[in-house]
Amino acid sequence: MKMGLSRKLLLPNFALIGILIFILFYLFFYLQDERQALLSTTATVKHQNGLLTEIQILRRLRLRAVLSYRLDPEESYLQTLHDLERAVTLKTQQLADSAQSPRQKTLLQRITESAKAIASSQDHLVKMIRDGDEEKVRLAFRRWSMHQRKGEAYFSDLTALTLKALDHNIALMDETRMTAFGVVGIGILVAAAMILLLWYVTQRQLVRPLLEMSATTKGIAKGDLSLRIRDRGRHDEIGNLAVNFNAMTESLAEARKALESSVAELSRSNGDLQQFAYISSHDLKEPLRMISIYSQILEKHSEELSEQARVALREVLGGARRMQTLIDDLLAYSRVSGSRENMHRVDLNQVLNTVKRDLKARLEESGARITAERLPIVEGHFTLLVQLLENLISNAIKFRGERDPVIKVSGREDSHRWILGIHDNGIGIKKEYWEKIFVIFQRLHTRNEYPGTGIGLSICKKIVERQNGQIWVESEPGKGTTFWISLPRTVAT
Amino acid sequence: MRRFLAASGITSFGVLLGIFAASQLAKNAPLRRDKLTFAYAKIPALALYFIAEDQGYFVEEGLELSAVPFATGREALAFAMAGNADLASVYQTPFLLEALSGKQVEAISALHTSSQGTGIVAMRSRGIRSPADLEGKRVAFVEGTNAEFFAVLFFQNLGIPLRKDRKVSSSLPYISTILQDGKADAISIWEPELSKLENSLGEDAIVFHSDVYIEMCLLAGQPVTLSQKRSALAKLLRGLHRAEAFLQNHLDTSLRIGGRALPHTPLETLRKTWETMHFAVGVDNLLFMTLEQEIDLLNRLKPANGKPLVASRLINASFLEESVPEAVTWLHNFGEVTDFK
Repeated sequence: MKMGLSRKLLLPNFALIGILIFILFYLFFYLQDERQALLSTTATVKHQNGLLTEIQILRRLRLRAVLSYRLDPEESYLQTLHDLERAVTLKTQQLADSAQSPRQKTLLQRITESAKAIASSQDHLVKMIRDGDEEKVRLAFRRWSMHQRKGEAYFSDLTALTLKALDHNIALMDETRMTAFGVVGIGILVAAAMILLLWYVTQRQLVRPLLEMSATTKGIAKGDLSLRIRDRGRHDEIGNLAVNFNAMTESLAEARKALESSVAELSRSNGDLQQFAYISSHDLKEPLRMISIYSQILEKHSEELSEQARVALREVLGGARRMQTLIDDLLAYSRVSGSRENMHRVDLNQVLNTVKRDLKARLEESGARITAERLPIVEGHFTLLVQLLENLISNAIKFRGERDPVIKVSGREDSHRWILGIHDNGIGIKKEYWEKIFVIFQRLHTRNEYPGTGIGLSICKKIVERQNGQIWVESEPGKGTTFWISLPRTVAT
Repeated sequence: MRRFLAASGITSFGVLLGIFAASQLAKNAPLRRDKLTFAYAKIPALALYFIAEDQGYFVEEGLELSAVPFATGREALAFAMAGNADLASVYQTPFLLEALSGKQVEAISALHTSSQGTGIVAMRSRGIRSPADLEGKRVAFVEGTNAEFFAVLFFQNLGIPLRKDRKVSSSLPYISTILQDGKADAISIWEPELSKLENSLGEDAIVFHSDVYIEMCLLAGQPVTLSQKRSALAKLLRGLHRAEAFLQNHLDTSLRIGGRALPHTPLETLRKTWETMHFAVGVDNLLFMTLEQEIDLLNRLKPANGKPLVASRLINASFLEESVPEAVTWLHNFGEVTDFK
């Protein structure tokens, strides 16, 4: 049977609530019934007690009346006696009607019979008193007295029964109290057991696994991908979480392993490539220099050459210069690759000033104007950042339109980064080339239209990425181009 | 999960189960069996005993009862007082006579009450038509029984002296023939012998009762012996109390049980006799009053040698109070009401 954690935690709660509701209702109805029973019995006992008291008083009055009549046979006593007898009979009947227990019913039946015997012996006594025979009066009085005494005994028994009923009520109340106490006590014990169970379940099912997961996660965060959450064979949410977590960690470990392998491979290949580029560029420069020197010697003796030879010589010299530029750019590109360390705080305002100074001649020659806002201080390489801005501003000058170049350098703060913008009013770039221009050796124009090697923007991209930033372009052909650069915001202006 | 469920079950209901099991164990614990020797008179007044025995109430209560039957309660009590039985059933007169003789005896409960269980049987052919005609006649009875007390009370209330030379002492097997033999003119006798005699005399029989007479069959014994048998007596009393309810609800079955216990008493006679009797275990004010009244009379007839008897000292309600408390209605101050004397 599988049961989710939420159910496991809910189960004891519902059970607890159920038990408490049961106890509440049980006590309510139980006590209600008990109360009704007690009220009913108590009312009856009160009623009977009242009747008993009244009857006892009437009986004593009757006794006095009989004694008075015996001493003074006055007929008026007989009327009193008659009234008293009737009252006793009435009250006794009421008492008999209120009988509840079988014992009480039997007793009241005997009291009724006794009352009849008393009445009969009383009539006999009255008759004897009227006759005036003292011996017969004595015997009749004795008989009447014995019946009275017997009746008295029955009444005393009834009184005792009534008292016992009260005692029984008290015992019943005690029993009820003890039952209620017992029920509440058991309820508290069960509730306490349920609370302990809930605590145990929470600890075992939730808190402990989460603490273990937390510790494992912390270890993994520190880089130990060999850590795993212990498999407890659970099939609930926590079990699933542990399984998924372990699967995720497994994937991460595999991914890291693959990544490390790729990084090592890439690093090695990159190193080889850089080495190759550097060595190639450097080694190519020597024969190129030879070509260039000998071509220049030949140029000094160009009057001795035919026209066709002079043309060829000019082509050789142009090619050698282009080759020189290409090699220089490639060297610059390869140098960027090896410059990821030693980053410092760099004030971009200083960078821009340096660029302006370096490009002073070209700016004056082209009539270009540079405006700049207050630029931020960033984390990076001063030299590389100078190279970045130089490349972008040089491009703005190179790809100018018919108007004098106007270049604006802006800087603004984003949530996590600095955004630099280099805006120009040049010829612009069609949207389909916005990505392509950052690929090495990609050119949008012929060499005759705009000279260059097609490496400049690749170098810019590489510099920005080495500073943990991004570069992208927005442009409208004929109106101008904006290069946007984002750099991590680590230092405030 | 199973472990969790098991833990839940055990923990949640452990307490309840524990309490339930404890109560069940206590309920089903085997009863300790107590032994008791009971000497009894084979008379209709022992109805509750016959029923309880027949219905197995004593066994259910855990009582191993050895019952020894006698013809009269006087003999049963004598048997118990001699140390042969723990308890005896006896009417109040032999019980009081035993006490008057200076023996240590006490009653723990009444078994029945009746006003018409004893009477005087006479023959019309001897000229007896009313109680007044008994003046100067010879009256037979079994000495030391309730029948003797009844005769004394009956004549006293009539205002007729019962002279010594008019008293004829007899014993149970022969008393029924004493009238026909002419040795007595009237017999004071109890049920069912009274009805049997009345039936045998037919139209010639005349029976006199007294409305002021009360007779009670008691459970009595020696205080020392009784106190040693407290547990057994409680079981006996509970069994008798259960028989009381059975009798009220199953009169015909009870009569058949009584008929089996008293094979020489016709069922119709037994029914008639039982109708005049009230069966209940109890220690009540009527018992006290009856004993007190009879002590008063017996003291006048046979003055005690030692200390005068006190009725309240002859009753021990504690046994019944422990086993059937609702049957004890005796108020200890009842004797203080002496207005009628």
